[in-house]
Amino acid sequence: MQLLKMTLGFVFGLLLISCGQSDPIYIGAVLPLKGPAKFVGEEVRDGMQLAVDEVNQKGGINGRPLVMLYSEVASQDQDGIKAAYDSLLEKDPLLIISATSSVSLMVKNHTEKANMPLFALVATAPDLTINTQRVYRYWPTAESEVPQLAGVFPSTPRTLGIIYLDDGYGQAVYGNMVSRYPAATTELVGIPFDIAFKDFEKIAQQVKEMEAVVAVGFDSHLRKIFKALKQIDYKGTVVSTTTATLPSVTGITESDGVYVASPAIYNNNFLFIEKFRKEYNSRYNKPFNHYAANGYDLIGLIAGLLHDQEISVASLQQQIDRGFIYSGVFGNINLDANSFDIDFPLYPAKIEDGRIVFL
Amino acid sequence: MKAFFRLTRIQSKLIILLILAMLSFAATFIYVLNASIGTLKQEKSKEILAAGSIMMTQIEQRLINHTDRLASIGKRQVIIDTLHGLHNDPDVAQDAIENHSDFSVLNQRLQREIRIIEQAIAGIQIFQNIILTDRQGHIVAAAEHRLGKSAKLNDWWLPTVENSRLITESEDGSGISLSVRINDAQGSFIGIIQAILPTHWLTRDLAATFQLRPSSEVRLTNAKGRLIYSSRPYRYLEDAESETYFQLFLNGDSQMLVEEGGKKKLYVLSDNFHTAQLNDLQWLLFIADDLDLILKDIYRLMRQMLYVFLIFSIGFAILAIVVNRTILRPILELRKKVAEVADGDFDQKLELRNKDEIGDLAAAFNRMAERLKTTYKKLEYEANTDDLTGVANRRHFFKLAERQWNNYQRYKRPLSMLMLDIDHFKRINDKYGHETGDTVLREAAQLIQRNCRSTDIFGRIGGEEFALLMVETDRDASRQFAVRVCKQLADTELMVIQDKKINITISIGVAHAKPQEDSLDAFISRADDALYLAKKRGRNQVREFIEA
Repeated sequence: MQLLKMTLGFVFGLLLISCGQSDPIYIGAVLPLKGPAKFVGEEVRDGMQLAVDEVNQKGGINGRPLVMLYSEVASQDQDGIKAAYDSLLEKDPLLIISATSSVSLMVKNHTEKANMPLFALVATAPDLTINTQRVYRYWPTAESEVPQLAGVFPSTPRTLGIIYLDDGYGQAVYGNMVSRYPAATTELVGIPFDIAFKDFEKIAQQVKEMEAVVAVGFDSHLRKIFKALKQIDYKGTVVSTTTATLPSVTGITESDGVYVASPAIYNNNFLFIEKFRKEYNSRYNKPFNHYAANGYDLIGLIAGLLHDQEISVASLQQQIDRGFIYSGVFGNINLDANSFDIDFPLYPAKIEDGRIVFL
Repeated sequence: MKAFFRLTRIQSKLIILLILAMLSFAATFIYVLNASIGTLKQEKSKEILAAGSIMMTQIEQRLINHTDRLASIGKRQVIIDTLHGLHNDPDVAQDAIENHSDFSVLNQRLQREIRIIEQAIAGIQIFQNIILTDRQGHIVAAAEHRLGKSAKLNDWWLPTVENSRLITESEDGSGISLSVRINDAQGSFIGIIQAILPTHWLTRDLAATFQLRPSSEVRLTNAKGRLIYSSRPYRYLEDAESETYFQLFLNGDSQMLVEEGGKKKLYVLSDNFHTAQLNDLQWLLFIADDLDLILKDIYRLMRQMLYVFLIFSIGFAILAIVVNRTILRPILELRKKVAEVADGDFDQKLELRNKDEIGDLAAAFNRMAERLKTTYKKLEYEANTDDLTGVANRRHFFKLAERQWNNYQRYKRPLSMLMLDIDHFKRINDKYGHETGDTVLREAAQLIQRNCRSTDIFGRIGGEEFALLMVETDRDASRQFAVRVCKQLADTELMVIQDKKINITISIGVAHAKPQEDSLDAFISRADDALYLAKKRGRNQVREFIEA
C-alpha cells in the first residue's frame, strides 16, 4: 500500500510539474471589429489567432506561450481607440498590432508616445510611417503596387481612367499613376468617389471610351464598378488593386477578365500557403484571404524574430532595426535596416472563372 | 539471494518479488524506449540528410538554370558577332579600349541587346550587372565605370576560361556570380559573360526549394559561417559562425542536438558534395527538426506505457492485498494457532471465512484441534486417574500435592494432609475374592470423594491406602472431616454380595503443614506416622500427628 501511495505521489508530482506554465508573452491588437471595416478586422484577427495557436502548439516562443489581447474598436472612434489602447497596456504587451489605415493612424499617436512598437496591417495610408520611430507597416503601399498594376498593360495606354475611393490610398494610387503616365503619352482621367457613393453606372459611362481603367476602392465598391463596366459592355482593359483578389470580388462573374496585382498566396502552386490555407478553411469554414494571411504571417515573423532571443521590447526593436529577410506565406519579404515599410511581393494576374490566374 | 531466502516472512518475500517485477518492467520499458529513441534519431537524421541532399540538388538545378539562361544570352548571334569581330580584328578592340567613347557606344548597344535577350528568355529581368569580356579579359559591356578594364584579375574570370562555367558568391556580397565561357561556332574561346544573380532572386529560389520541407528549420551558410538563407527572419551574409549549430561543421559531425528557443532540436548537416556545380560555393545546409516532433510517437508510446505501468502497479497492489488477505493472513493465523496447539492449548479455533482451499485447511485444523483436545483429555485422564477407583492415581496426586505444597511455601495458608487406609482389607480379599475387594476399594473411594470439596486433592497412593490434601483447611476442620468420614464409612453398608452387606472401617492419620517444614515428603511422612498410630491404637479411628 505504501508503495502504491509513493508511485501515485510520484506520478501526480510529475503531472503537476508538466502542467507548469511559463509567463505568457502578450501582444495587443487594436482591430476594427465593429463598423464598416469589421470584415478586415475579423479576418486579420482570425489569421493571427491561427498563427498564435500554431506557435503555442510548438511550445510558444522560447518556451513562453503567446497570448493575444484583442480590443474591439470602430474605425473612426478616437476615444474608443484610446480607451482600447490603454486597456491593453494593463497586461504590458510586447507590441501592438493594428489594422486598417484609420485605426492605425490613431493608435500610432499613443504608441509613439510610449515608445511601443506598432505593426500596422492592411494599412495603406502613405503618412503612416513618416516621421515615426517605432511604427512599421506590413502591407504594400501605392508606390509598390502601382508598378505591378502598370505591368499588366501590354503597352502604354493612350487613355486611362482612374476610378478611385477618395481616401489616402486612392489618392496615392492616382498620384503614382499620374507620375508614371505623363500627359504627353497618356490622357489620364481621375474619377474620385466617396465611401458612400453608389452611382457607378454614371462613372462607367465616363470611362466607356477609354483604353484602360484602373479601379481602386473597397471590395464592395469594386464589385459595383465591375458590374457597371460590364453593363455598359466596356471593351478596354480593367485593372484593379489587391483588394480585387478577395474572394468576395473574384466570386462575381463581372470580375472575369480584370487584371490585378495579386499576392502569391492565391497561387495554388505556392506551397508556403498550403498549410495555412487548409487550416484556415478547416477552422473557420470560410475561404482565406490576404487580410487573414497578413495577420498570420506577422505572428510568424514576430515569433521568428524573437526565436532564441531575449523577450523584450528592446530586443525586438533591435532585431527590427537591423533589418531582415523572411520567407513567409507571401513569399520573401524584407525590411531594410532602419526602415519601416514591409511590402509583400505582388505579381500580375488575371481573374478568370472566379480564380486568380498568374500571368 | 541468500538474504532473500533467509527472510522469515512470506509477506516480505512477496513485496520484494512485486517490487522486483515492477522494477524489471520499468527497466525493460526504459531500455526499449532508449533504444527506440536512439534508432529514431538515427533514422530521422538519415531522412533529413536525404532531404538535404535532394534540396541541395534542387538548388544546384535552379542555379544551373540561371546559368543556362546566361549561356543562352552569350550564344546569341549579336554577342558572338561582336566578340568575334573583336577577336578577328584586334586593332578594333585596341581602338575601342583606347577610345572610350567608341567602346561606350558598343557597350550601350550590347547592354540594350542583352536586356532584350534576357527579357525574351526569362520574361523578366533576373540578372544584375551583366558583364561581357573578350578573350583577353577586356570588359566590353558593363556598367560605364568598368568599361575597358580587365576582368582577368577577378576571381571568376580564369576559372571560367578553364571550366566553361562557374558559380560563386559575388565578391561584393550582392548575390551569386554566374559566369559562362563563350565559344564561337568552331569552339574557339572568344569571351566570357558574367552576371550577378541578386539576393532577392537567390532567396526566392532557396525559399522555393525549402518550402518542400516546411516543418523543418533551415539554415544555409557558406563555409565561412555566413548566412545565405534561413527559414526564420535573417540578414544575408550575417555571421553564423558563433551559432551552436555551426559547430556541426567545425567538429566534423553530421548531427547534433541543439537547444534553441527553449526547445531541443536535432540538427543535421548536409553539404554540397554531390552537387558538383556548387562546389565552389562550399555551402552548408543545416536542417533542424523539433526533437519533440521527431519523438512524438515515442512520447505517445511512453504515455501509453506509463498508463500500462500504472495499471500494472495498481493491479500488483490489488493482487498483493488480495493475496495477503486470502492466503497470507490465514496462513499466518494458522501458523499462530498451530503453535498454540503445539504448546498444549487445544481450545484454539480458526474462523471459517472462505470456502476455498484455505477455508478447507482452516476447517481441517479446527477438526484436528478438536480431536487432539479430546484425545489429550482422554490420555490425561488415563494418565492421572486410578483405573479401579476413578480418583487421582499416586503420580497425579503427588504432582498436584507438589503444586499445593509450593503455594503453601509461598502464602503459608493452612494445609492439611490425611492418609487413609482401609482396615483389614486383606481379609476382604481373602474372604470374598479380589473382585469384591476391588469393589470395596471403589465404593470406599467414592464415598470419601463425595465428602471432599472441589479444592481438595484426593488420590489412591497404594493398594488400600488413600491420601487427601485439604487446602485452606486448618487443624480443626481437617480433624472434623476425618472423624466424619471415618464414622460415615463405618456406618455405611458398602455393597451386597450374595445377598450380604459388607461393612468396612478406615484408619486416618492427619498432619498439618508447618512453616518450618522443608519438604512435602516430610509433611506426608508425618501424616503416615499418624496413620500408623491410628492402626496401632486399634484402627477405625483418626489420629493426629503430634510433635514429640
